Amino acid sequence: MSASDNWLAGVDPAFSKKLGERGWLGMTWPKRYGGHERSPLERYVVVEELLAAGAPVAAHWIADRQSGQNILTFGSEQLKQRILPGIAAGECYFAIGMSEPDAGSDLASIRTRARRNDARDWVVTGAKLWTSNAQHCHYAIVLVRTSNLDPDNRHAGMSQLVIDLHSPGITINPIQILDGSKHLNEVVFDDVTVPQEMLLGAEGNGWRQVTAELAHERSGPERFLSTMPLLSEFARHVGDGDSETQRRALGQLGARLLGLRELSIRVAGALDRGEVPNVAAALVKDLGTTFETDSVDVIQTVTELEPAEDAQNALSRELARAQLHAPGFTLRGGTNEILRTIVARGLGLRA
Amino acid sequence: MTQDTVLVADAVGDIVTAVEKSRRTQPGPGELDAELWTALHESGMTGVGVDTELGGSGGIVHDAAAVVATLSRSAARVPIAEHLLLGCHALAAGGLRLPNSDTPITIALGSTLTAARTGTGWILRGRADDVPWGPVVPSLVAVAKTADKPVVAVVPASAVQLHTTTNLAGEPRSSAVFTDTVVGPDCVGQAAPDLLERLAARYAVARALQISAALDEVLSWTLTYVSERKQFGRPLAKLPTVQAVLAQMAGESAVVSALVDAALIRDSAPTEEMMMLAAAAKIRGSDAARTVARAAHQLHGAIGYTLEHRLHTLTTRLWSWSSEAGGQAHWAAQLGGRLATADLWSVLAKPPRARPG
Repeated sequence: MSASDNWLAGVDPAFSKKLGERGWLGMTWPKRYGGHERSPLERYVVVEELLAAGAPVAAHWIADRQSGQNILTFGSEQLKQRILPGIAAGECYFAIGMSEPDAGSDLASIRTRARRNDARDWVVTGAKLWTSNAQHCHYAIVLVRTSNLDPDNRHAGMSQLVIDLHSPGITINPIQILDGSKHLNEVVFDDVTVPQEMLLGAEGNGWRQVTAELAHERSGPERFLSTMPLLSEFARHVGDGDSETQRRALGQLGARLLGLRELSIRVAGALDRGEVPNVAAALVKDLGTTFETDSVDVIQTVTELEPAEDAQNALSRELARAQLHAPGFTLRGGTNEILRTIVARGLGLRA
Repeated sequence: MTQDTVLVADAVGDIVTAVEKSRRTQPGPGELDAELWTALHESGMTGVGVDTELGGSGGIVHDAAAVVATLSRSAARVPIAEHLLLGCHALAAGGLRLPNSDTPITIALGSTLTAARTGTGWILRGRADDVPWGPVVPSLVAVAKTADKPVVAVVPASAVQLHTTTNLAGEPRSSAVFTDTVVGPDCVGQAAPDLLERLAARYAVARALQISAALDEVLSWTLTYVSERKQFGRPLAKLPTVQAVLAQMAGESAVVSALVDAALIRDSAPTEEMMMLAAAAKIRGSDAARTVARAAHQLHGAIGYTLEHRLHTLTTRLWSWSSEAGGQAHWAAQLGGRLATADLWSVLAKPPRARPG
């Protein structure tokens, strides 16, 4: 079923599996890991089409977008062979283990700890929060402290672990958002043993890896296409009517969308060249999610339709869903205020 | 940018610097910087992107864009965008050669301008509403409707009646009345049916390109200013609210730059595809021009709106360019009209295109 924000809220494993069968997951990865060795631009086109249709892609979205890429870049050969083919087949799903109760946009203050036990395996204690779709996922890449916080170098001493979410000691507590849906969760780790080979990359390299991962997380077309089903309904509505005000509003929104798309394509090109365009990615997410939120406001204002989830009118229904999901747009993946500080740092204004 | 475009931009930057050093006269409002134009002409820059067969220096549209961008960020008083991206382009579309390559040409567009054959040549009637730099160029390139395909005509500026105003940056803007203006057959060429539509779109891209260059420069000036200017014992740049404003300016500048680039890449794409990107570039460019000019003035404080400070040389252009070549409302209605369909996505999102070279 098509709907706004379905890339995060629309879980449909059967659909994900079909995409895997068509070769539309892990598209750019090497064939030996189940990938298809297609160009980033080809992947971009597929991803855009899925988002524009509001397709239920949430099951595999994180795995295909960033977790697999992260494992491909930093993972051991063993980890790549074990994990990547399942992601490409649309059968293995990942959650993001970054935010915590006291560490939202400020990731360096995470408190989830991992210690080595006698067998050199990891034992994890702590909690992650706002973990989208954890209840449907097989694994999470979890950012943990593997050394104590050094106040002079807050970014040191963190590592990433690939954790099987069915391990003993893990509790997943769902959290309802405004429309009653439950894609968000709290994930609690109570002395969870993680085999040593599930360390992703190097111990202590977590910050660098998470920064690279966030560039993938922030720059994709989902950062401005979450409300595409709403925009499509609006375009139909404008076409059926005869309002110059609405026509101009549609033109304005269309122009913003086209600009974001070109910017996002630029970032995809930079990622493909092996760069970490975290400033440009932060820009896409800041401008893109602001656009998504504005599109709800603008369409509401120029149509004066009353949003209702049970309305007869499709545009009223889309407005209701988009409105209730909108507060999340400018929060997830790092709040826009924090993203602007990343941009300011890129401009040389911050140390 | 390709290597060639970077070289072109650098060369133009050097010419501007050299002319400033040896300048004999300072052009005022409404005037052309003839010294700069001569220097640009002598180095072949006034023919960049124009076929050598038509009297140009060769190169692609991105090279011409690099010339325009460099001169725009310098607030140069020359009609380079009109000359390279519109006038020469229209001439080429009509199969005509550059008339006199040591003086600039401009474009004359208007929906009521018509042409009809006479015994000896063509006769032009009607009005071109938008003739930028009209009083300072010897020749206009007019595009007129006929019963059949549109024609491109080279008309001496003295043969039409110009009504001129001056924009906020002191650039002359005219409307031109053609009262049975006769043009010889050598100066007229027929063009493809959609030339007027494509030129209007290219005009929008040209202004958006100029806006983009100015945005980039204004951002850079503002970054320098807030890093040097100290208040409360530290540079303004250390204030988080100031940083947030600069991040917003950088975002606006980046979007317009990406859109202008995309529009240039689609310069020879089918008309609908080219139009959409041109409209988007002008809508966002106009929007960004106002946002960035306002923020730059706010961050520069009172000194920024004095004539002795350089900031106004670009903010006045940003304000005027945002409404020229069709303002936001015009292009928003154009784009919105095309998007108002039952299948928005298929209309909106043509496949991404990569830049040639």
